[in-house]
Amino acid sequence: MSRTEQVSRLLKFRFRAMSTDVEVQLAAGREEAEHAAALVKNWFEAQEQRFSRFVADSELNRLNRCTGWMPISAAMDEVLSLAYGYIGQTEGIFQPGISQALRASGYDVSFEQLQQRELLQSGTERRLDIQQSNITDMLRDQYDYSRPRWIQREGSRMVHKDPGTELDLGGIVKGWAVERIADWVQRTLHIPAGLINAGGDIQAWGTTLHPMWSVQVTDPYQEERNLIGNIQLRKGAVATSGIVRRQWQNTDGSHSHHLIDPRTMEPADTDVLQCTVLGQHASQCEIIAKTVCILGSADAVGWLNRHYDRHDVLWMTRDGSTYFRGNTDTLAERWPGFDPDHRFSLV
Amino acid sequence: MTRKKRNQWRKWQASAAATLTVAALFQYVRTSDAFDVAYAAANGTDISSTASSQIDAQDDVMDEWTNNTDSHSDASSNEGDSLDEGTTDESNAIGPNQGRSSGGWITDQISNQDTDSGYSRGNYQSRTGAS
Repeated sequence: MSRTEQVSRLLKFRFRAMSTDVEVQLAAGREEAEHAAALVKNWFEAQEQRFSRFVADSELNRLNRCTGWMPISAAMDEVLSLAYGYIGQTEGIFQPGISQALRASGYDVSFEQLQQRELLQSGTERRLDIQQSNITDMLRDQYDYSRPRWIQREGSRMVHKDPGTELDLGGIVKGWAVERIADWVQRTLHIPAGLINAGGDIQAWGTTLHPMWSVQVTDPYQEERNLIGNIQLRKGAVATSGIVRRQWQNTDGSHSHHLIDPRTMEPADTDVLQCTVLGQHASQCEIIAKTVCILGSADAVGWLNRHYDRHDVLWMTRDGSTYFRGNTDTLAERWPGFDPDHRFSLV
Repeated sequence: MTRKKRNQWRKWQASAAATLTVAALFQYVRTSDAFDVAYAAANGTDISSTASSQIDAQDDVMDEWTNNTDSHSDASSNEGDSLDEGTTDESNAIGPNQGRSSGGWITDQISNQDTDSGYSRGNYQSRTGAS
């Protein structure tokens, strides 16, 4: 097989990491692709060990237990710096200092364990052993959700949290990990085309002989089904967030989900079921998707306009309506098959 | 007369060589990253783009990972568990509906071409959804 034929051949690998399915597609010869996929897998496993709050000795948990200045890894330093920036960009809606609120809402073990627990225990027997009072105290204590709860010492990789703060970086790490390793595989291993997808956070580059990458969007009501329409891209990123997939039943019969609104420190009360964002960077798309979900339709449009955001954003609401805010001139080309009920152009 | 001409020629040669050396030296300095940073700083301009090109060359995050991977790979090979084979631990356990695990890889039951290696043919298609 010639080198050109080998490169144009696309190989797909799948594995499990960060409590989600990871898919890797690479245009390369078999040995090269296998080697690259093994490295990608190792990368995700390493980041899971570093950033998970469900791994007892993860760097994140060590940081959360620490009360003074703590030296951190280059990866933690970079993610915290990114998170710092996104807090500003989202006007505080993206807030990593919500770990206690997540636990209080019942998300105190990995989602896989949470699902198993729900199966083992009937909803009425579930016990939430986290003191709600901690969260109430945080709110009463003039908690300013719009500012970071930590400081980093420039140039020294040292970090200091506000007293009582526990960080959860689950809202950013998956997209960041996807974006970082995709860039590295492209730049360092010189693989001309590929796609990395971790639980819906996607970074794609190059298409060799194929015209476009095509991305289907899951129906929020039925995971096995896709929405009508798909996303077309040559290179760039796609990310989706939503409240349906990771939700669970509380003891009182109500439902909770994992998207915490830092303004109330409770699962967001929102009309948005699922939001998909198309852009250049997976971490940025992920943050925007989450922010739109938390804000709800009306506030989300205002927020995107205030920041002159250039991403294509598509979301579905509880009443079955579809909203699109982005470049309406390229909607048919980039989002073929989608026919949003409400359209908002870029400002 | 001949000697005078020869001396002039030597002087010219020496002068030309010196000029070329200085020009080459200046070109080397001018194209260095340090010159870019110093020039930008002297003119009070933003040096972030210049600095980023230097950061690009040195990627602490990926260096940190590859260094750890190298040491981990060495250690695991001593235990007979190489990186290429992948590992499956309890935290990466795969549910029965998610396919068959092969060395930590999930393989599609139908479309897989080489289940031992854990890959199948890609198709330039993927899927996004809340996870």
